[in-house]
Amino acid sequence: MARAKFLCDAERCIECNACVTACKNEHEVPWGINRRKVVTIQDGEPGERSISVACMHCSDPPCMAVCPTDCFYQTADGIVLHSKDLCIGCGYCFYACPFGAPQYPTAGNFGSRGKMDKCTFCAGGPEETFSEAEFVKYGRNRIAEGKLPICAEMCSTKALLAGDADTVSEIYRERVVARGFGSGAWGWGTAYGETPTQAEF
Amino acid sequence: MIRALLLLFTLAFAVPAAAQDSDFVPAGTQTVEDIMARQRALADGDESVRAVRDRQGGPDEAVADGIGLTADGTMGQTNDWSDPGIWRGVRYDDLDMRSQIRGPAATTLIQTGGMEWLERRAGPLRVWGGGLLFFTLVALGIFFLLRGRIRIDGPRTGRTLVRFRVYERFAHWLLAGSFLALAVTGLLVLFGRIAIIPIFGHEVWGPVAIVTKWVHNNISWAFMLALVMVFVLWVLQNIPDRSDWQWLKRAGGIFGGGHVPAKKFNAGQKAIFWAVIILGASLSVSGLSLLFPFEMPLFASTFTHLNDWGIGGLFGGLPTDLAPQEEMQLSQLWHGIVAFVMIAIIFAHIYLGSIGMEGAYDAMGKGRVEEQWAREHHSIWADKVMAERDDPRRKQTGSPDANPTPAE
Amino acid sequence: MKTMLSAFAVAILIAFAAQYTFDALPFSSAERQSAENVRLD
Repeated sequence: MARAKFLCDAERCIECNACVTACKNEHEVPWGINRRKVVTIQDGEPGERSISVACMHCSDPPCMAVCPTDCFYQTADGIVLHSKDLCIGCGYCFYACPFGAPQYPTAGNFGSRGKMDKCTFCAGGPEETFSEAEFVKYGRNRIAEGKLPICAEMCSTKALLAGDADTVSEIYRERVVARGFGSGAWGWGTAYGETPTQAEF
Repeated sequence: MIRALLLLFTLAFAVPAAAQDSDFVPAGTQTVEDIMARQRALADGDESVRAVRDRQGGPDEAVADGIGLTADGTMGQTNDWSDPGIWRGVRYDDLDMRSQIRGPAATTLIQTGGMEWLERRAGPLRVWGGGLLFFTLVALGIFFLLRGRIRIDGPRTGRTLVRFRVYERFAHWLLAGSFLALAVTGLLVLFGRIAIIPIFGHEVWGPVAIVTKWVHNNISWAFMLALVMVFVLWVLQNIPDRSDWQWLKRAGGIFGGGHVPAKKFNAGQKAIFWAVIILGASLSVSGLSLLFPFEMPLFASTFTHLNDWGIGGLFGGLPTDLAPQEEMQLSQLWHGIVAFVMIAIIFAHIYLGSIGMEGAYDAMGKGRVEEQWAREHHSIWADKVMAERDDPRRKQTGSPDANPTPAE
Repeated sequence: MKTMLSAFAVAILIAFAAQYTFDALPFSSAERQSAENVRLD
């Protein structure tokens, strides 16, 4: 059984924000909502790195643990999804999430904050696969189409990797060995309790 | 057109030239063979290869050659921002971070306070908070069994005194009604997942939770308004004075020992008043912080003050560098803790104002109390009110409390 | 009793007023996005 994971190679990310845009386009995410973000560290200074972040689909997701309506579930591939029918938009998953992944449409105040929206690893949600309801609420189900997440698929520098954890870490390990620097896949320790290069470094 | 051709011409020569350049290897540069050899040696346990710079020249030479060699001899950034330095900075959120995304906390790459928060919310907050409410109810039940209802000792006179005017009762019930709604919905949000989902299922709890959240968010404004009203109306009569000391020394006569003289509010009621005002204000502030997420961070500045005053040291120094999400986590926990304490106090208040004491409910229910009840429980106030009422020289515009016309 | 019930009714009225006021407030994520500090470079 595959274990779906994201990995962003900070040595390769060039902050083009194409992953953000592609994601918005693919899922027709409403204005003001970004399921993915690119954060630049030390912008314009030596040591600048950029990292593309979305839901990391954690092994033991804090959002799932904290949700007052228990609306999250994890697929057999480890993808963390949620039901917008149960979500009340309380914002607790945003407070619990280490990566700031959950997003809320409509309004920023607690009172009228809409139902949470987040990266689905392009795996749709708890509606009938390929149905209109699934697309409207959760976006396209590329996984069911046999494709990987669009953000990683179209990443021009292949900084963002998505797919089976073993494959992703193997690619990353080869890169790190070949270039001799830039190890430490960002966020893996927090999300999955391990790093892809632990065996080597 | 000629210019474009010229450009093409130039590029045609430039490309092979660039390719030639890449074959040039300056002294000291690591080749892929070097890297792979180093990896194999490390895998075999040969630690000597770690001192790569001894063979390839130090970092100074590397910089002079224009080659990116870091202090440990690997290629990469030629500055202080080593990988561990960067990741440590990211982890503790002390690097300059920017993003094109404008959402709240968009530039916080990572925060791990959420894991502790959700455990505290699911563990201690539920257990201790729920326990506090449970034992308060048990204690009140035991008190009722032992002491019974506090009766009016003397014979009823049939005459009544105005205790609360209509606007006072309105403020009280606005506060009471909104507080009960907030308490019930707040407890539902905290306990719904473990109390309701196992019995009724997710599909039932989902819609109920949406209503719960709506009520909790919007009724809060009535609570805050009523809190201000109650404060303005009653603060002067709730300032502690010497008579409270007598009342407290005899525990208000609750456990026997006769009736203690008291003004309009006895020391116990003053304690309830100030508890409601202070806890209510704290609840309102932390509630507003939750109502407008990330707009009203409270705890970093509060903790800075506490640390400056030396109070923070008692807790081993409170953190002052909080991620936006961590501010919200602390607001939620504080909101919950204060709410539990206030609910427990209000349990006692409701008990004494209803079944606990004969004649007490009339004060807020009808606004008028039995004269004998007033003499027993608020003798100083009752004497004053009755003296004003019975005074023949009393002006038409006397103290409102002495006005014998019914409030309604 | 009348005072109590009218107070409860006012609490509910305030709640609805609050709901509609907040819906009108510029707190939406879209408005954040179009804030003047958006970097367009």
